[in-house]
Amino acid sequence: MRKLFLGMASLALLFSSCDNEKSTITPSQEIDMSNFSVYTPDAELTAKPTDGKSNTKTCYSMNVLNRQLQENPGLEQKMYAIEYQTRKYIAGKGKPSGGGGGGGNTDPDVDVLPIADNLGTINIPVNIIIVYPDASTVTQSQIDTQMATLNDDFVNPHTDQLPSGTTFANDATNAGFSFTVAGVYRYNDPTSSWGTNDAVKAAYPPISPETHLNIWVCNIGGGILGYAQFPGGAPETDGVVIGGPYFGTTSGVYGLGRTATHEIGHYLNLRHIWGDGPCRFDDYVVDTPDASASNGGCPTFPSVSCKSADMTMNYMDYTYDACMYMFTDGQRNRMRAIFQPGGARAALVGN
Amino acid sequence: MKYLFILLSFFLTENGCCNKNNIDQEALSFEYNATSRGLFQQITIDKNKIKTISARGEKPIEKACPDDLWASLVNNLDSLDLKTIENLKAPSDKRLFDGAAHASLSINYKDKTYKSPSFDHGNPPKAIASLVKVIRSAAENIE
Repeated sequence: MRKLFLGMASLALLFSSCDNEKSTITPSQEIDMSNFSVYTPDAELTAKPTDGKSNTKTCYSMNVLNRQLQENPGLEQKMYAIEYQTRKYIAGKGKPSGGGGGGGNTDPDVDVLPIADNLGTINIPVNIIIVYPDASTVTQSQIDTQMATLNDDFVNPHTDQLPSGTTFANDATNAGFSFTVAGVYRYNDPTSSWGTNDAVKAAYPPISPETHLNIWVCNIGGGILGYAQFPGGAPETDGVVIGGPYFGTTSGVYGLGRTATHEIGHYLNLRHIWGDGPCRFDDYVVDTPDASASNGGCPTFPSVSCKSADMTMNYMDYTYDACMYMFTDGQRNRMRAIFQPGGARAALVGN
Repeated sequence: MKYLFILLSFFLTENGCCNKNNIDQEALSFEYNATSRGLFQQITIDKNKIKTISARGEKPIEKACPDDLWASLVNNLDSLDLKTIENLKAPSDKRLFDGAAHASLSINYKDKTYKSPSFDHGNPPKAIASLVKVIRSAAENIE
């Protein structure tokens, strides 16, 4: 409720600042929301202003927001409020060195420091819901190896795996999350392909989604390995869905359990590292370099776009499992922001 | 005189009616891309050939482009202003959380490329929906 109120308050400020160019500066206006979009922004709305004045940007964001509110008012307001809370937390606690906060960065060497909060390692209890014609085809070993992968990826910065020549060693992070199995539920269901419209969640509802991460394991189809839901969405569809062959340690280029790492990144409010668009589209994290598109396969360093080397080894890119092995400090801070008091997933803490 | 006018106007419209007669079809090609972690598809079509790549790093499969398919693609351009393609808005955004692959359409004409912003594979912007449908159907028939 409090975060909603904050979001509404900031909304009101944005509206008034467009109407009145000379409105006095209030603390809330220091949180720059101009580049945020729940959806991918329109190209014209994200064009960087040439005169450097921030007022035009504020009006752009109002236009974006107006459109979003029309399309799905409830969700958009929630996601806007979550983004506002996240930025306010990061702006108040952490200052990147060597570059500004907020929008897209052109300096690939921006270093963000992990924000010291008093949450320690945040443990996330997990309910695993297996839905297959024969639910025993997803083995206990897959569950065990999946949990081991998550417990390593969200702690171990894996800097030893970085190729020589990168500037990413100071960005690789210990995100400070652990995962424990709370329950495993198996359902035999003849459905051969569940798609990405949350059908599996409707058929087999999540258990305690307010306090637990739910992972559905089922056949998705259409070449989709897994999909997620950002914070702010409906509790009855909250969680991630992973295809059985990509759950835990299996085989093939997506056989190391990193699909779950990537999807849980989305569940914890991370965007794709290239911002789902050209260079000027941002992932709202300042220590990830701008990129013009996803990278796939196992790229040889460097893969250059937007005048800098892409961080293809980031979990939020589209590379093979063996070739992605890091989150950044900026991503860590963004994920942990939603667990702070008033944050969208604060209720998961202490379960 | 009357008949001459009718005859004349027939020839005039024959030459002037359809954009496709003004298009240099040899200088035109289409490219459709769809990418997710588990999906890679690239379809390129010009007047002579259809090329599809269905897995990352694989060699393209080629076949001749049937005349009726090419005509259908060119016809679709009648109702499309190439310059507007760059500003099309995706009607849905499931690709942001991997609920759909990232897709885009490029139309190459002479020395220019008109590329759409990315959209959800399976739900293209309305203005290019029928064009995308024809391109994707061409790839389905190739295998």
